[in-house]
Amino acid sequence: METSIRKHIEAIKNGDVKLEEFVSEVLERCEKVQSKYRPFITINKKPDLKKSKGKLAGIPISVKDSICTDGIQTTAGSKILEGYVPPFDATCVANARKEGGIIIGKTALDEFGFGTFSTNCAYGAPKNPHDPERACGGSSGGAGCITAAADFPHIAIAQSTGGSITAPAAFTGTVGITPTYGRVSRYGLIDYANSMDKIGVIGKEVYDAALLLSVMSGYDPLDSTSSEEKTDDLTSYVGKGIEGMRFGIPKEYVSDTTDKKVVSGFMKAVQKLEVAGAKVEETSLPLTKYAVSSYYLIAISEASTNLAKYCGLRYGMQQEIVGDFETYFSKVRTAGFGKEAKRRILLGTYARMAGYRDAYYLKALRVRAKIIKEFKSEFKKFDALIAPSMPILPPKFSEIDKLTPIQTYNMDILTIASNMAGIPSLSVPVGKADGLPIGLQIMGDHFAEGKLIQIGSSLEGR
Amino acid sequence: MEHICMLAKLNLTEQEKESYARELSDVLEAFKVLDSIDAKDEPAFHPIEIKDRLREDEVRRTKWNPLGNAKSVDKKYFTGPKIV
Repeated sequence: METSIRKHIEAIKNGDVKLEEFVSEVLERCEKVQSKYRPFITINKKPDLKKSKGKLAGIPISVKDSICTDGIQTTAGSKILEGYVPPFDATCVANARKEGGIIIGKTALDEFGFGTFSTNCAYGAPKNPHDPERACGGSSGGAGCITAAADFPHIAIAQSTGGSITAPAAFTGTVGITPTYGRVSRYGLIDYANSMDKIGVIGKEVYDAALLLSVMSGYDPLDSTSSEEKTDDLTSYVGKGIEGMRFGIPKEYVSDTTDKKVVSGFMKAVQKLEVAGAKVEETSLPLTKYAVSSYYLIAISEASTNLAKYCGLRYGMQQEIVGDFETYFSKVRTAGFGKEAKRRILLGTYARMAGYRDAYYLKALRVRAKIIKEFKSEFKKFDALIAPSMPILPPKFSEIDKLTPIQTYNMDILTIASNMAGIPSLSVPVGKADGLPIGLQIMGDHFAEGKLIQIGSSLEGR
Repeated sequence: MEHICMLAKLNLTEQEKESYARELSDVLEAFKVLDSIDAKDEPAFHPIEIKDRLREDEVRRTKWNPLGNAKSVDKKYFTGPKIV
């Protein structure tokens, strides 16, 4: 079966694809991938095929399980939402369906997005198709997994708060685009940290990611933080060339803490950008050392507040009602939340306690303001910043088990600052080391997704 | 830890409390790096400028049943534990 989205679209237009047969075959293949790598929490066995025209007509789409889908279980990877079947679509899903996208399933993630490797999963961790003993990266690990493993045309709707698209894209050798905060409506997304959550895309090629992001983008009256900024057809930027563009490499992103094999693979790709006509210079983002702490303070403060709504009465996990409200509420939360969710609730509760709010949460927000200014200043000098997507190659599950929480949080060092600043980033695969994929990320100014697609596509096929 | 668990509405075992307390101490220690930065900037509550947008308060009919995901219901109501 053809895996190229562009060729599949052509085949659909030419009437060469019988939709029902095609979808039936795709679902069979999903089951096979599921038995090997576990990318899904739910496979949608009866997808809606009524809409047969549009920009995504006949294209199988998977949806991260933290995004609501009408009539399909949505758990956010947590036992506390087990059995929850939303009666509505998230706006991004509704937009994809309107354009003929076929929802084939819901992909695995770290519970509520709390993780770097997709190992904090209540329904099982997805395995990396490049080496099943290794993780796919998180938190959109299922999205990266199915995109890499799919032997059929497919694009994934993913989501990032602090690097949850870039990490799995890098570890699975796929393309991931994290758009500007507000570019895609968050209506229907199960919140992690409202001021940083962004819905984006993972695809096999830059074109695929550009296509789905174009369909999902735009102002939505149902999300007051969505942007009115004009949305282009982002596919028009694919293959435009990068002659004369200037890129900065932040020296903090290729320091001793980044694996030498990753840096080596990254630098080979930089040479390709130079051959394509770009000028590349070293630059510096001195505030990088404050990014992980300030990010986690904002994230845990917002997350612990958001998780207070799961009281076990209206949807998801519900138990026998005994005792008063406090007793029942505590019982359900204790049974429903996993280890990392509890850790973040405890940390967030502490950071928001009377007397600590100014020292932690507000201080972190002030540091974020500084980080945004630092990026803005760089984009006066450069078209984009480029760096390795992740500081390591995809790790083995046995290696992840040995990491302490703070060691894990520090693995986000290359993706945290851009996510906090709400700027867009695109991760593209740029070769392998030891048979494992390496990603290069391109970070641009707010709403510069088109330029990132232009740059990312220049690395494809080189 | 007892107080945080009470505020967070989590029932943890003594062993869990000890383990989380150690991890939280490590994380809070790492957060101390922020003490070394002088940040007087206005807090960035959002990464981009957010406009206040208020819609008309109109009655709209929904097609879905709000009780559809609840296990414990009584006619048109959710039922839950005693609050007062």
